[in-house]
Amino acid sequence: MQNLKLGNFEELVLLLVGVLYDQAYSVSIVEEYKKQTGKSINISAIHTVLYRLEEKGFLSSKLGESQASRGGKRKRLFYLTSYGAKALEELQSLRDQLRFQIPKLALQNLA
Amino acid sequence: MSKLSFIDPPSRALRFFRWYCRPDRLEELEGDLWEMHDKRQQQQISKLSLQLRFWWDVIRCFKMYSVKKTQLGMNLSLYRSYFIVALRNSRKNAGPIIINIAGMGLALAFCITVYMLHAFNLEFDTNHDNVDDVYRLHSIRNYNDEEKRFELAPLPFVSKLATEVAYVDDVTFYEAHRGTVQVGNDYFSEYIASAGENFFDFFPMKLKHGSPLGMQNPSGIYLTEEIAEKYFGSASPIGEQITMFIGEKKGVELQVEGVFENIPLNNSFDFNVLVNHHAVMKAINITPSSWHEESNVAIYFRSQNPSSVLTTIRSFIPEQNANQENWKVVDFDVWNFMDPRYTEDNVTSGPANERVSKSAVIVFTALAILILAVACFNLANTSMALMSKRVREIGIRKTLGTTNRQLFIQFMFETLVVSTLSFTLGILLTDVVGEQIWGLFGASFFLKDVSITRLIPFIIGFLLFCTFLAGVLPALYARRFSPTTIMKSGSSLKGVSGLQKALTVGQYAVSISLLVSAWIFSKNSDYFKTMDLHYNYTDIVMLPLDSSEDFEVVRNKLSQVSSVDEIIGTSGHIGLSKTRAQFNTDSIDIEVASLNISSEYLEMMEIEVNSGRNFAPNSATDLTTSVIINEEFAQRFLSEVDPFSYKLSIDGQLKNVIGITEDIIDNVYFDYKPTPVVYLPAASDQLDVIIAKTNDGNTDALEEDMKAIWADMFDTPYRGKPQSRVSSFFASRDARNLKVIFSSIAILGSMLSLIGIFSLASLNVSKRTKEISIRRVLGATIHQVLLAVNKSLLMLLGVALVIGVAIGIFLSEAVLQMIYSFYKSGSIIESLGIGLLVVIAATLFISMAALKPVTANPSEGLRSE
Repeated sequence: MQNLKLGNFEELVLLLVGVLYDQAYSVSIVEEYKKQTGKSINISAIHTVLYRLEEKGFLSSKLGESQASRGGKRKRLFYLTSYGAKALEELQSLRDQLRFQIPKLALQNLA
Repeated sequence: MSKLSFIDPPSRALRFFRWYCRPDRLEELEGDLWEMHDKRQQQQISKLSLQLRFWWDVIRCFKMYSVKKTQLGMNLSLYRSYFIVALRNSRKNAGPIIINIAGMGLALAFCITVYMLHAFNLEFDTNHDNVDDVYRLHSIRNYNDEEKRFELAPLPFVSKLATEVAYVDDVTFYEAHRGTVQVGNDYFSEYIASAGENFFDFFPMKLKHGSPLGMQNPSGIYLTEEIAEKYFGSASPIGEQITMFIGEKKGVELQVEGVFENIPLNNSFDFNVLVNHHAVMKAINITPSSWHEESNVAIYFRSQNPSSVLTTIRSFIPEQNANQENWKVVDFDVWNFMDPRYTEDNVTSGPANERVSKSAVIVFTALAILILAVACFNLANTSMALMSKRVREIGIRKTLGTTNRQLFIQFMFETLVVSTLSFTLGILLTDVVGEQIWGLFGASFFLKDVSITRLIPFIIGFLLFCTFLAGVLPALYARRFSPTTIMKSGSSLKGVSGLQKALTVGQYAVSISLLVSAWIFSKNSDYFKTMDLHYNYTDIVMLPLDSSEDFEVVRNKLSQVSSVDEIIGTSGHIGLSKTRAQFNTDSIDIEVASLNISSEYLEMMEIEVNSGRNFAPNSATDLTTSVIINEEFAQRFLSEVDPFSYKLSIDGQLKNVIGITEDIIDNVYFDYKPTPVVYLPAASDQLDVIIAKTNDGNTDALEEDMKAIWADMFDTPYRGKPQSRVSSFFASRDARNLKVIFSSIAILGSMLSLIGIFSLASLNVSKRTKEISIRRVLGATIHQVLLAVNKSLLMLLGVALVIGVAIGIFLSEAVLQMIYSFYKSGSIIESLGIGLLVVIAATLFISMAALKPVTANPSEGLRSE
């Protein structure tokens, strides 16, 4: 677990990349983020996280097709690596594990 | 959305992005920006908003992941670590660094204030728009044989220009008087301006309350925000009643029509209250067609052809001179409203405010340069001293391959951090320092009054300049370290380098010279209080009356006051507004100053009659046929004849000269020349000024008694003054102001220098611990060691003392000469004494720094080295 240091936001972006499989690049992630969370975000925040995740090995990337709406420039598409998928899975199972350990009583007698 | 209406992203933003973005990510990132832009286009938002958002994205993307790694041979993270190292070092040496920041901050606050003085002149009148075609009308007059420029012209010219002169589009005028304003039962002495009804058409001014139409009301009055607050508090004063007094005439009832909003001081129209000129005409009893000196005003006109207007105005000269026999002009001139020649130096007199004189700007700029030099030298010296603790760091960095260039940049960057902090402090302090300095001259001018578009480039440029000045020497010094010597012996430089010596001498010389100047100015401030003006001004109080009819009653009342020694009456008096007489011979026809005096006046004022006699009391012959002149008059106009047998034509009447008095000094400033004066006898029913002499020298106490008596007898404002405040008062005040400014700067400079030498001495001692220990072991006394170690520093101080005293005497002499005709030069002995005080203080600081290592156990020193 210690090796898979993932921030909250990083995890979210990682999940979004998974959701958008094969179409995950910065602009589509910005849009998906807004759609899923209802909050808007600046593209540079997404860039920062994407490049960092790639550096850490959670993501891999390749250049896609060029497009007129992008001024004829190509986009960089991101894919989950097996390492990234494993990290997501471990985080998920840790969460579940903890979630089930909360006694029922604690959830009933909320402050 | 059709292709045609597609709005391209702003090209500058794109260019900026391409400039900073690393090439391997340029394509994808630029594509992202384009796509975001494209998507926003479909949301139907304005073009401006689109472009702004694109810019915002470009700026937001300026981050580590996108920036080129090769800028300046280093990437951003390197600069970040420089910044962290700089902060860490500053924290480690918090004491000296904080002192340097504080000192430099104060010095910078002063420099920015001086910049404001320049800005005051540069931005003078820039608050007025649409004045390209506005011209000032100037009268050139011959006064005492010299041509002087006045921003004044006869009032009848206003209607003449409007109706009789071609190419004049519009005319307005302005005038200002010192007067008294009565609100309820309180009297306030104010600067009262008056202007034509169309004044706001020429010079619109922002109003906080009221409307510019109120200027049409002949009994309307406008107040500045400050004055409105003083009279009526924060409530809107529109419609309130105010009574105005100008001169000795009766009061005029006015009502408030408006309140101005923040008028900057650096514009032609500086006043406390503004009224329609009709109110002033009513107060001093004149009409728009009055040809009278008192009714002259400053005239402004709009024209596309000023030279032809000037030609027409020149044709009015004979008419003007015929109508104003005692205010003759030799020529007229027009200057554009924004003409930069419009300064205190060039215009002798006029109601409008002027640019600051050149001499003041020069003195302040010189001071700013000196104090900045001290602050920068000190920072440079401290940085070099502190660097000695970091020689190992530098050695290791060099061994690991840091280039000299990188080291240079790093140390420059460290200085930049310190000087940026100083600048922040300096800017925060500017208004505090500025308020003190402007306040000395009764003015207020703040940073907010300076154009921001000029201020920001100045501040940034100045910041870089100071950083360079203070940083280049330490940065070069760091480069010079040789890694092998550092690693072998711990230091490559023994003692104090030549560079540091030069800086120390410079810094002390400047501090000492400032202190010496401050001392000389303070001597002069005292000198002006007691200097011999060739007449008595120390125990006299003068009181102008509203009318000569009151003279006897007031004199009787006053003679009952116990501290009064003697009371006389007169009509003309030194320091009151000057009267003039027309003097002519076959070859000349000029104006000269004249005083109508009673027969007791010369004796009371202790003005010597050098030859001939005084007026005889109650002599009818003297009253009609006699005149007394002064030496200057005799020398200038009657040198070739015997004055006592010559018939003098004064105001068209032939008079006999019965006496010649000595010249009095009525002006101590640089433009002093003895004034030719004629004294004419005043009839007993003309005496409207009371001159009272105290028997105990306490003019302030007598003044209080007189005020009380006045308040009992009259309901008009009291206008009396002790004579000492009329005569050399301003000279004394100016010299005192110079003293205050120079001494504050000198104290700041000296403090900085003392701290500087303390760190230098500590450095010196720390480098010579081994030497000190050996000397101590060999039996040297503490005294001998202190002397041996600090000999070089003491010699530096000696050199600085000589240079500083010389510069101080020279500097104060130059300043005094620029301002005054009469002054006391500094004495070398006293100046050396003042300089010596600084040297002694510095020696104490040096000894303090050296005392601990010298008194420590020498074996410790030898072991640890």
